[in-house]
Amino acid sequence: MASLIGFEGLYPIASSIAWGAGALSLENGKVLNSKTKNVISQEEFERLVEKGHASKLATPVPISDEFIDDKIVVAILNNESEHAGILRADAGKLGGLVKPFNQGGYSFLAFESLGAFDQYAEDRINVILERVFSASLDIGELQPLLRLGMSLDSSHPYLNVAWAILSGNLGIHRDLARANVRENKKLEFDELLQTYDQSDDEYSVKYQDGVAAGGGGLDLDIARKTIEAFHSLHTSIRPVLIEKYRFLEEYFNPPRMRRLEAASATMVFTAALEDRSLAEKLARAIELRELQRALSGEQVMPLEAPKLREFEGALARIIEPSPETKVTHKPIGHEESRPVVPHWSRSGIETTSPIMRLLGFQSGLSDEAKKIEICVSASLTLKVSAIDNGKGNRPQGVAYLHEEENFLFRPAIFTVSRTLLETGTSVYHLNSVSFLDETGQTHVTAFPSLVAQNAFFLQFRLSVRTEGNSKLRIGEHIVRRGKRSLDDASAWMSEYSLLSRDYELKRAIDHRGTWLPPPRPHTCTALDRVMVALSQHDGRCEVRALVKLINEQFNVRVRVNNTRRVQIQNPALLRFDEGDSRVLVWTEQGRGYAWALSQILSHAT
Amino acid sequence: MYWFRAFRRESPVDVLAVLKAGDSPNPDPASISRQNEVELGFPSPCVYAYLGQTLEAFGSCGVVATESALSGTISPFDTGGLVNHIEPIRNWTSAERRAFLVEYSWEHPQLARLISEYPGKEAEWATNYLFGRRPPAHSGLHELINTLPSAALWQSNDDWRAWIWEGRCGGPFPPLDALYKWTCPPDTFASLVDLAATTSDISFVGLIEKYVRGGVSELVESLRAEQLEQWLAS
Repeated sequence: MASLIGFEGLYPIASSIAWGAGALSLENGKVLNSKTKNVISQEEFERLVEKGHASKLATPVPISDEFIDDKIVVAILNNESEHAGILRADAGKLGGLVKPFNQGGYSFLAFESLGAFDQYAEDRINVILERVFSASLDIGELQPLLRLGMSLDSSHPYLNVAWAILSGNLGIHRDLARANVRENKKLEFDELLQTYDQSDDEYSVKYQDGVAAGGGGLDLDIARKTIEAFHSLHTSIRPVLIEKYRFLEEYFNPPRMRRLEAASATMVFTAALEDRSLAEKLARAIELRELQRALSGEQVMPLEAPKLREFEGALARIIEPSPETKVTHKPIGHEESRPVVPHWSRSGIETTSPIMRLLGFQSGLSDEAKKIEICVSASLTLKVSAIDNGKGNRPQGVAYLHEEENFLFRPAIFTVSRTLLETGTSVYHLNSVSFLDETGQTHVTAFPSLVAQNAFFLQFRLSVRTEGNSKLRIGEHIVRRGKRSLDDASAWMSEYSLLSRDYELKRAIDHRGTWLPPPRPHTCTALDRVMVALSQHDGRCEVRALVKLINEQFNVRVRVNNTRRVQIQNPALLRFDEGDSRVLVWTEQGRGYAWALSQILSHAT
Repeated sequence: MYWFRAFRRESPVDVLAVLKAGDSPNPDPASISRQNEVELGFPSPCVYAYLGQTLEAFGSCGVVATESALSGTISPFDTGGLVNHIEPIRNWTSAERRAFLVEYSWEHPQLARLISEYPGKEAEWATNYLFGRRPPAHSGLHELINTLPSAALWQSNDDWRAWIWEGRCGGPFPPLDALYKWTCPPDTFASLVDLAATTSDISFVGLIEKYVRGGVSELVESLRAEQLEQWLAS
């Protein structure tokens, strides 16, 4: 067995942390550099120690042979240093940790790669940034904290923003800080620094005519709805902001409306409150920036579907309180007001999907029957216009909305297309509706993919018809129906979703199938990450190696137990090898899932 | 390929000086380097660099320079090793060692021709060279360049100092315009950034862009693929 006998560089006697390659003593007596894999003699290693290029451990620490090929990075924490508490992390929660141990006043964390160390560094830098931004300390007291962060990762974009601001925010500070940041992170640096620069400016939204007609001001109900809409915007984007700026988690409060100028129906927002921390100011400024972006028709933050609907609904209520209302806003840092840009009227429509024939049922209607909700799978309900098919015409077959009463929950074929806007949002257009009990046998050509949320499996032909009032025949399968109700419709829809999942995977196993990718880049689930990693090993891989691959590839920090849990939750897709319980293998369905996922990811926008 | 040099300085100011103006020879007559130089008949102290990676497999600071940056003398091994540990030369007399070294030393302009001979353009040889592994199937460079005196350095040694190209010059090395990449310990880098801010040293912005985070080992490892690709494509 190999032993860790030293590390690159010197002990952090006067500082809090050092880190670098590990020196491993091999069974043949040679010393291996864990990073370069160069091998030198013990004598040569001693010479490097004498010259101050490397340091020795007081006692060698055995390292399992399975880590020999890893590019181990060793972090040495000085337990006596002022900031030892910040650097201490729960070893049980650290991903990619080969071995933690203590020796002579130092704590050692041996990571399996620089990537694993970087995740630890990111975690600790968030703690540092939280303290730096929320503290009312002077720069003399903050500087050691910033230096500590720099020692962990000098290229961190937000750490460099903090360093630039707190070092004096002069040109030299900003230039040095920006140079530190890696090219692919410079945008994040610029964005946060600019937000800070403009954090004393106000942001205003103004209504004219329409709801503000009659000499200005707003009726109380309109004012209440508008303020509620702003609050709704806040609650929908807050989780995404916290995800992005973890160090400001506690400070994403609802936006502060400094003035409501009733006479001109103007709402003025500010991030600059008296006697508040820099963290709060920054968090408020970030949220106003996002608000302004949303009202400028720019790309909104990547929200999950329910939050996106909440966000877009709130945005619509702010931007168009009534058709006659003119809404302008004064962007931060600008003197002139500009019209807001409704996201649904933005130019730059990118793509419209093929027409999809979807099996579903109408689950609701709203806005005086101008919009209807159609349920097309156990997990997807679309809200579509019943008066505009995307080309200004009324969809075919919707006259029933005004002529009949019992149209809810009836199995029907909805022909729908999806238009992807430049902003990354999508709009579904209804082209026609035909009830199954009126059409006889027909077919579906698409259903929502069970592999990726908001993707569709399409370009197939699956027959479907009703058989009396109690059965639905889908392909070769019979699905029972009861008395028409939401519960009954949900039940047959659930069964249909299971059938369609089998259908999708069966085709994928044979490498057949076409998918309409989700409108936004697909966020890989834990299962997806396992499948992507497994596909790089032909569907079979030792769990520890798999976890390592996942952590490196997806920049996450999962552990072996997380991956075992994924298998437990998906026994139809994954199993452990009967001969070796450490090896995870995909099933035939799992192979299909992986192929389908690869198709969706490769075509995702 | 690039020239690598590992070095150590106690203070950020001294590290910055090396980055800006290059490193100078160690003139201390008591240093091992200088004693070896005297033994080998070098008239004046030298700064050393190694082609493809650095001899210091672990190091505190490191610089990497372009191939044309070194104007001096080259040899296909670590010359200091001739005195201490490279077999069989270390057991020879001083006169024999000096004579041997003269035969195995060339001026830098010869480098392109010589590295075409060794490690050459075959992927296996080039990869072995960049990873510090023993050259395959030959006992020494004299089997590839038959005008050289015979010495089975590759066969008789187990240490990559017996088959790495060394460059030596009177310094400073590297000149600023030839600095390609550099590294230092993480806390030293933080001190350097503070130093540049305090002294309003805007030129440090250019140096930051060449910084490789993670120490000498990371510096060596991170440039292997690039060097191999360029070398085989050239």
